[in-house]
Amino acid sequence: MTVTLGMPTYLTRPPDQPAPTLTTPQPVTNLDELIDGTAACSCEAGDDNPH
Amino acid sequence: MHDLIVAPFLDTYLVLHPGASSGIQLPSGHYDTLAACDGHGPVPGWLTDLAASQWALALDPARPLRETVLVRPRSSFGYSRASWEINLGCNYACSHCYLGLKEFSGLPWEQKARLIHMLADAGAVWLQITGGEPTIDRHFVDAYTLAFQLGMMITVSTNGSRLWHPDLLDLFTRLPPYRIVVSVYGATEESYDGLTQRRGSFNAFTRGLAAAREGKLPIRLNIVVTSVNGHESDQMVALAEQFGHDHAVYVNMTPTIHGGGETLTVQSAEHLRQRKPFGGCNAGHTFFHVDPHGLASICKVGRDDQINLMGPEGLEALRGLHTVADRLMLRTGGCSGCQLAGTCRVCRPLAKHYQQAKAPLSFYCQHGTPQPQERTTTS
Repeated sequence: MTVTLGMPTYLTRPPDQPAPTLTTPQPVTNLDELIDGTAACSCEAGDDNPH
Repeated sequence: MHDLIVAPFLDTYLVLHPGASSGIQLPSGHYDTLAACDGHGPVPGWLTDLAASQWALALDPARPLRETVLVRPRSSFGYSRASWEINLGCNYACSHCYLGLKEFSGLPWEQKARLIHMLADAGAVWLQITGGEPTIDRHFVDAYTLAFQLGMMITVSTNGSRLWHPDLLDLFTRLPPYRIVVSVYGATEESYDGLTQRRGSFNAFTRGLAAAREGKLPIRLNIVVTSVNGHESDQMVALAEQFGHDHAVYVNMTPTIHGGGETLTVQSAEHLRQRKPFGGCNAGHTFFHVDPHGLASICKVGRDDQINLMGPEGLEALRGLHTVADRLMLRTGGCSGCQLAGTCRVCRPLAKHYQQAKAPLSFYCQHGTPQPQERTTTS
């Protein structure tokens, strides 16, 4: 979502990545890439922040 | 225990093998076929073939589907990932820790188990169990086991001090984690123990890491660079590279979750880098965080307007998290009146913590001289 009030181009969420339409099973070599694209924290501080 | 997990993941469907970093995406029809099975019959030939080609896994043809493959149902909540602080208690006293006061408290076992079921019901395929130091929680092994049984791919975020313990090694061998992330606080005993403020912590770390390597556990190292150990940053990276561990280097500390700025005073000024510009975040929409008391938030940083999953509404209350996420991401308090707001590229919940801590603008505002970006990851 892009907001136009106060912060004109502040993107609150990353652009949607349409899910692929599969007809056959497809290997995923690196699951991290799948997670990072859809379900990982953008700033890292809220995700994998070491403590 | 299951050899494979078949699970919805947002708008896709995955076949996963516990402990493996690769997987298989399925067409929805394949998922529907598996979900409709009663599980008494054998594993379909196509899935046996996929497991063999993807992981060299020879599934036992005599075992029925329900014993071999855990087919997770679709979730109306639509989450794919969660993190959970099982307990904020820790055996170290690091000055940089963003948790601030780390009180040793959490839910009783019955409530923990209820919460773990909720995480699964919310759709979480990946679960990060963190703390505090999660492995010192008395229910850690039971909690990990239950999450595994429910078909979650588990990451444990730890200081590594107990990784050598036979109970943990046995657990992680029997029920493989997706990843074990070990924080690195120094390359020598002097700096490591100095940072953790616990004598013997470096020895416990090296012992734990050696045991994890011996057990071939999937380790990633999070290298923490502060003013205490900054002179050893290259040595810490070398340590990771020596053993071929994935690693990330963290140089920017964050204020505590209570808005305290004491963590910022131990940053190594010469190592600071500009954070990655904020480009939108799915916090609260595709993933969420839960604290030791069952309070859900959009992430570890944005903890305002927490939702109590232990209340009478239970998991249903989580449906309100999307609204919370949108609200927190748009809150401009502290930056009101900024003439450059139109090009703001900072996570708003994170900015709020810096503002509460009365940190210099240069610590978090992206409007400034470009610098190298934070975090380098290599493998």
